[in-house]
Amino acid sequence: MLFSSITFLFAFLPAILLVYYISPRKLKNTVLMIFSLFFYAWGEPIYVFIMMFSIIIGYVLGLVTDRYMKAGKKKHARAAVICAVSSNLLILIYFKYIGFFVENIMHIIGLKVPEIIIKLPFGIDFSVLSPALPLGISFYTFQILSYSVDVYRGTVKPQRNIISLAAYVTLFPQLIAGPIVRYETVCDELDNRRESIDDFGEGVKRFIVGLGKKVMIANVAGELYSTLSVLSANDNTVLLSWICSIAYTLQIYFDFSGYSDMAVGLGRMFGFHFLENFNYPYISKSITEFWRRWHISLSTWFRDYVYIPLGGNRNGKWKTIRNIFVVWLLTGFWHGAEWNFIIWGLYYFVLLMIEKNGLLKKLEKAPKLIQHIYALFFINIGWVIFSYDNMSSLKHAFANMFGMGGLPFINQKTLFYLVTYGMFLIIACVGTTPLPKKIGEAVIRENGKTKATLGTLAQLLFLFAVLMISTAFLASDAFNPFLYFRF
Amino acid sequence: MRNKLITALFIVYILIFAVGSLVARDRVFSDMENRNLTQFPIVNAKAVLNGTFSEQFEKYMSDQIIAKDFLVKLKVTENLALGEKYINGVYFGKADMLIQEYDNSYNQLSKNLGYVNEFVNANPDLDCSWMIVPNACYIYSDRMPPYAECYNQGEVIGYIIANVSQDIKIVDCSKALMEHKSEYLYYKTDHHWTMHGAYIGYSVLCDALKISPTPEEDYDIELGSDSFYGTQYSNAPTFTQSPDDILLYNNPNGSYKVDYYDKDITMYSLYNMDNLEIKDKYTTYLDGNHPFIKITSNSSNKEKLLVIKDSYAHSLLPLLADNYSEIYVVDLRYYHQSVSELAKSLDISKVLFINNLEFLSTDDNFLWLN
Repeated sequence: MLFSSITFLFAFLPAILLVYYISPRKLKNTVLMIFSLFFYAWGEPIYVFIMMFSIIIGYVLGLVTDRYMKAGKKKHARAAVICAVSSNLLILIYFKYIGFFVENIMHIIGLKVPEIIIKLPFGIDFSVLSPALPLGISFYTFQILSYSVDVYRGTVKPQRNIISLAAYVTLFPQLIAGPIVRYETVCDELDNRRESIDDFGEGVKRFIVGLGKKVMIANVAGELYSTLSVLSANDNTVLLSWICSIAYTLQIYFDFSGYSDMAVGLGRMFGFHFLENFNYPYISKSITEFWRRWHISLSTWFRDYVYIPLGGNRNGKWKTIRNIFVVWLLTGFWHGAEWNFIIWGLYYFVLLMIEKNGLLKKLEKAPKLIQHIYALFFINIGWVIFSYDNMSSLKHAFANMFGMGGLPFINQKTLFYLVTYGMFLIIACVGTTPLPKKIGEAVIRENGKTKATLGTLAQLLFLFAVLMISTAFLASDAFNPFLYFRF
Repeated sequence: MRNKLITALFIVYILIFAVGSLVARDRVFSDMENRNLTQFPIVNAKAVLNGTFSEQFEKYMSDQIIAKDFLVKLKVTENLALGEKYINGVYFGKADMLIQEYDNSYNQLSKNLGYVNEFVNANPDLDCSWMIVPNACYIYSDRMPPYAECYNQGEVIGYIIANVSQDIKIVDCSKALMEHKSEYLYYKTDHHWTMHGAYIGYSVLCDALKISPTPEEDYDIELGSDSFYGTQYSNAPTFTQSPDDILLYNNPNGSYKVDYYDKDITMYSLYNMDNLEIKDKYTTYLDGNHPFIKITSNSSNKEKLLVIKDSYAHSLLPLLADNYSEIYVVDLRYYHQSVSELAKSLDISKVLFINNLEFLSTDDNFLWLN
């Protein structure tokens, strides 16, 4: 179930809010867990059991790790945590990457991938060598991993109540598309939280803004991208292939950050405070800065659970480079079991290394405009790599963009797309900057009684309009994809 | 205070839609969108476990939401307000025209051409003509939105003429329509031509068939409805769209009888006036789509005519009825028996195909011809 769906907005959400708020304090986590399991099972009626299995492993081995730590048996504790981490990693590797590995190995050997199908009851086929990817597995596995490691490190106390732990892992706002909420961020709130009308109101604002970003901007940009990316050579031009890549760049930002906004907002409606996941990544002046602003929960996860455990930058230049390489290889691969994601990760490794070794210092002396153009250019190229999992279409797309595809620069169709989507593209570009937020804050700033009332009115009207138009898009069966099915 | 108001707004909003959609009776058909709506899906273990239940349920929820028609209009109006000129296959042209897209790949067209040629060659005794009607995007090309392209239908007609059998006469009315392109030839909100457009086609057809057309001023032209919202509007409805007029050409000297064999109904008018009250008012002309009908008139010409057509013919045949006392009309989308046998059994020697180019380039029912 997508947050951006009629079913979520007008069936699931009212139901869980009602049940949650009439339930006694003791049962609130149970309510969250049951509704979250239902939310997950709605899209993954079978795989919900794999998630439950992962939670049980994390729970039991978390307690075991803690007991050994307290008894001073560090080696035993280490064994327990390794057991927890490796079993969850194995589940992730099997469901997400087995198909990719088998296919590539077979390709090298020159054999066909054998089809091994297990027939499950109710006519469900399970393909052993290329299983379907469970929704959100990369997100919840990373959350359980961080919990196991943090218990071992002693930075968090183990959760003794399995329902609280299950409520944390399955918490529907962040379950299928992030952000990756660390256990330490919410452990206090899991057992002692106070919902308030202020939090709820703030949550509603974030949720509506996120919904609008996803439905009114990301989906429209996505539809434009999907039209332009399959344009025949007769219609395509150099300019259109650039517009196509920009449409994707806009789609993925508004989709992903819109989802994170909705997650943060929904969390607050239930009294949770998640960390921010995006911080206007497209206003970055370098790639280094971009990765401090984009999908923050993922980059900090890799920093804390891969880069630093590998030794970080403390063991000399070459080991540091190796560690950074590993992080970016894994970051790329985390986004999907395809070569283009690996290339995309390594592309950023190369860019970041170049910046680290002098380019960043030189850039800082350049005019700001040049810095922005530089960063956006490489971010946009990165998304082109990201968007094509087929190598020959990727090559084709680049050839078209850089004038080697034998296409004209511009034609009548290009002008048509510029005229019909020009205003939308401008609005979307402005939407990636903090400008709309600043304007909004200026309008609702409270100074003097009449102005404050007008500000409130303006804010309510704005939220109502976004909610209504988003509902209209959803009720019209407009283009509404889910981009994270590979993650 | 602000957060209280925002909370209240949100709760009330989701409750109105939740409770409203729950209480409101499910609709079977949407008049505005002209399609069946999803009903509550079947629940069983298999459907739940393989995910089809949740998929169907989500479709059901978005189809049966209250105020759906209003919401669909709101969405398209927002697209339009941001400058989009091409929504759901519809171009938003000048003068409130919703123009149907036309993108010819010659793929289906050449197949259909092959079927027609095969029919003509297999029936050398039949005197065959083929009336080809261009669409609004060609005749009204100057009303298309800026820079919007429509495949040149003049070229397509040229292709047909070059590839069609010598034994069939092509009646091309695009030149005549072009000369009248400032007139009300096509509906703003529907993909059909108006009865006035059909009259221009009719006069070209009469020239080709060497019969004399009824002068346009001899008709009593009746305004059947001034609130017609057609199929193009259904695809892309907005709050601002102006409706179309349905004009009915009545020949005061004519008397007619129409047999609708599939429904076993006989009407003594070329128009089903009841349909002026429904959403798709274009079905007023000869009661819309039927597999096989017979039009009988008091014309002095006793020659029988067999017409094989699409729905563009519905507003043209009422005019042609004055020139033939017996017209048999077949629609290949619904009539799947041998047309040659039919011609033989009815003792017919004259056959007229009537097709618009969009139909000719996309429809895959011409195979029933042979």
